[in-house]
Amino acid sequence: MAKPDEIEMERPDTFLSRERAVQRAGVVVLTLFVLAGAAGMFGNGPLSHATTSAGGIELRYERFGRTTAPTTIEVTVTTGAADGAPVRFRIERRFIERLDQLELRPEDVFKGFDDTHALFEVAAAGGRGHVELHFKPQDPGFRQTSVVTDGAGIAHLRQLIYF
Amino acid sequence: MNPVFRAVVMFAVLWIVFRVGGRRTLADITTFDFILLLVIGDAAQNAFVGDDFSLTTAALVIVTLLLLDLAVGRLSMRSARLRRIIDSAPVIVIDNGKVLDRVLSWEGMDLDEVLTAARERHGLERVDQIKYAIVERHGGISVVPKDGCG
Repeated sequence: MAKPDEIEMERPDTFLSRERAVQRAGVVVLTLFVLAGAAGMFGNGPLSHATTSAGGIELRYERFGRTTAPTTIEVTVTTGAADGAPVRFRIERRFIERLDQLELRPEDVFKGFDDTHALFEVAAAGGRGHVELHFKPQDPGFRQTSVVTDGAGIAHLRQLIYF
Repeated sequence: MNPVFRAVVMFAVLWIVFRVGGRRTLADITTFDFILLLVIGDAAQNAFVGDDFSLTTAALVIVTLLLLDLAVGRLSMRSARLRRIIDSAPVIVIDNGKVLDRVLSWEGMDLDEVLTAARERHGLERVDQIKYAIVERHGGISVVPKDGCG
């Protein structure tokens, strides 16, 4: 109980001391969160984009994406084919079927599904075929797939979609 | 994601951010603070509803936030410990005329803010006229003048 000339209020000194420590730690965590975001750990930044190359296939994509935010996977297949010649590649069907609001550029490159893969065919230009897959993921989670060509080239893609 | 879940998560995120930011974050709002609050609200809006702009989802989010606020208020009434965790506790920064510089610093304040409150509320002119100055839970400053002052 407070003395007659003392103010009557709680003085939880231990709690306040701990609160300040938690706030200091919280500021550090929030600062790291912002720095990670600026670096691209949550999409759109220096660390966000990844490029993988194997067997004449080059994939460029965002390593980290966010639900409802647009993202792009670029597939470039180098075959040395003459301009206008068909360049074909396949992507795992289950990966393509999970892509929400998918738009392809060029538009008419999708040629259907077989049992396990989605089939793409694009006209070569400069010895290469280039396709862009634009989509907006609706669900978070880890996604991975392989892109394969008729020439047995195979490249892998791994992507983490945040909320 | 379900809009109720979004509302709960964003409520928690906003509570954590403003709790970490300290009680003075929302106390005396300047013009810039007001603009910042508007911008924060706008930034949070898309997180609440995503790309669903239906009346139903908006109503669902609003009601969820209101019920969460009521629940937090009720919880804080149940125990002093919970109330401190949710809303912090008042802090004395001037105790019987003595300025607690370290506490002022912890609260991110300087003596000038306390003197401003003392002038505005009680017409006090000097520190030695102040018996207690307290930073309240809401971030405002209460000043208790010494007997015979103010």
